[in-house]
Amino acid sequence: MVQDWRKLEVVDRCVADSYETPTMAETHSLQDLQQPAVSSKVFVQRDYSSGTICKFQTKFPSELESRVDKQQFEETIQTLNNLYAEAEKLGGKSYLEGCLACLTAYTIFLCMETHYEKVLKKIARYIKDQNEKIYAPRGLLLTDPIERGLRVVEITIFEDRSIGSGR
Amino acid sequence: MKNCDYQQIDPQALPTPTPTPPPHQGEPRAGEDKPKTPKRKWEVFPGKNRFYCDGRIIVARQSGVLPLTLGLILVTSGLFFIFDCPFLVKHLTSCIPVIGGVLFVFVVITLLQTSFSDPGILPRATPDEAADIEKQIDQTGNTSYRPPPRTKEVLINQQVVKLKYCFTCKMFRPPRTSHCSLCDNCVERFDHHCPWVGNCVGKRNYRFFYTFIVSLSFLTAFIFGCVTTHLALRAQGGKGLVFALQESPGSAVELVICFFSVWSILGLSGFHTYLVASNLTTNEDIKGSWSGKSGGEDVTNPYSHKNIFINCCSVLCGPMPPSLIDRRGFLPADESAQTGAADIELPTLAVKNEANVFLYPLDTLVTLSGAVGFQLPAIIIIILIIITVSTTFVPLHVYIHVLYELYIYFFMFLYIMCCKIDLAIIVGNLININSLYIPSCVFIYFTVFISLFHSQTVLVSIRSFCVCGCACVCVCVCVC
Repeated sequence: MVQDWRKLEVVDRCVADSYETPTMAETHSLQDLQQPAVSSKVFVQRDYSSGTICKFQTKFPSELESRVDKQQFEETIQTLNNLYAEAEKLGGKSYLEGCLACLTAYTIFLCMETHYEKVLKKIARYIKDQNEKIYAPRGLLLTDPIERGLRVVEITIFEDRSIGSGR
Repeated sequence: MKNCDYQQIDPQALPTPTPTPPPHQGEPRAGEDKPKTPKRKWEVFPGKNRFYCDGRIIVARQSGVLPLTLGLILVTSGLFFIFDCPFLVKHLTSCIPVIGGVLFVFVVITLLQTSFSDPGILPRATPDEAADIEKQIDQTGNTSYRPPPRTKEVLINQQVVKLKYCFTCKMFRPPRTSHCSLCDNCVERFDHHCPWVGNCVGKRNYRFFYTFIVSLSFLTAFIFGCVTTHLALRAQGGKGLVFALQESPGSAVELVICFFSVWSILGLSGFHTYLVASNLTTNEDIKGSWSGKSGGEDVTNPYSHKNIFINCCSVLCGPMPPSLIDRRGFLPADESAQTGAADIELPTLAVKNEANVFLYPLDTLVTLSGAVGFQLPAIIIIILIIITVSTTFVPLHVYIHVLYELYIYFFMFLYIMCCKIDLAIIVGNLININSLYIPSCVFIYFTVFISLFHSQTVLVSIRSFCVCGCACVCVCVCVC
């Protein structure tokens, strides 16, 4: 957590020239940094055509047209959908886990990490990886859907007014 | 060179309203830099739930009849182990307390899990999300009045399903999700709000609930059988039932409690087994969403796998979904300030809930006896119990009549309580209700009427007549 704040300070010093805000040495609230940087948010909603399983729409939002490649974006969403399908898959392994849990009056859920939780960790790692490699360099940020109750994939678009070249 | 500035940013630390610690572990080191301890998310939870053990346990605001349920189970099982087990171990086999013990442990654990776990609550939409959805719907931009209910239609497995907009949670509800007015939350795969368990039954705790009612029906039937065997063995040799009951008074209480509850619990287990096999929820079954009553001709359940075995496995043995509300996660300091500005009453609600903890028994009493037409059956039951207890010298066939009467009252009490607590669903669809209560009540009325004419004692005949009369009054109260 401490090192994250330090990284924000680095950004702020670079941004300070164009926005003429005094460079603050001490840690400052996120809100002050938020206003100049964030432009808008795009929400990718759930796709319920196959029922209640967790699946997101692969339709490419129009606001991202200038930012990221359509193919890339659809591939990210499709991989996420596949990962969630793997988490919710009804197969031998999940039945075994369910039956074992039933026999122990579901007390093993207190000790053991479920298959779903393991896949959620995998998804978190994948999103972090995608953000680092593809989206952060383009000024975008994907938020893990679990933090939004598995309702939307929130994509934050950052203004790049201070870095106007090459877009 | 300028491009590298963005790459220096750690995506986890960027200013989004999400808290920086990972979603499932509330990291305590978030509190080290801040001057005051950060709040956990359960402290600012907007629904009407109460939290204990620092957010590990979640219950509905009104605990309903949970203390009564737990009390009945503990009392009956306690009396069973104290009064019946020693005798049966001596005369039959020592497996009996073992089986009873295992069932008892199962029942209590699953009951506590159903009551204290998150039923599948959907967190409310963030302001940005809500604004985005509003933008998509409101083309005119006129927000001075509440617009008509918004719905969105989706096609699920070639079936048209309407998604409603929830004004409280500010989002379109996913399919099979319903907003519980008692808990003020949207719950996924909402089944019903169970007052006996004191919590909603939804996607995450349905399997606990089902295991609870199935094991409870086994336990009740088991205790009933054992007590009957015990009394029969004691009454052998011409000693009589009354002598047996006087030797073991606990067995009488157990007999009464088990006789009442075994039919309703068995009925409920059967009903839920039917729901599990057809992958339906109580909510959908009562509303008749997929049975063709409210819809067109070709209305089938789009969520069913068309195979009973697969339906059962997917509902009961499927992967356990995670809790979406992350009760024990930490809020970053600015987030708690933001939520404080947006919903000012939320932090004080947490304090209020803590203060109300001593008023819950009163709360329960008020709920039980609050509605109109409610006090009358409750008072009648109490009077009848007193009369029954004082008639200990009456012969056996009268005992059976008395038990039948008490049973009808209990049934009506239960029915009214369920109606009054869930009035909107039940009363509105009373003609379509697919419950086992009405047919079994009708059956009981007929048996009592027949016993009325064959009865030897005038007093019992009059009492049976009053029972039927009161039962009819109760039904009228429910319907009107």
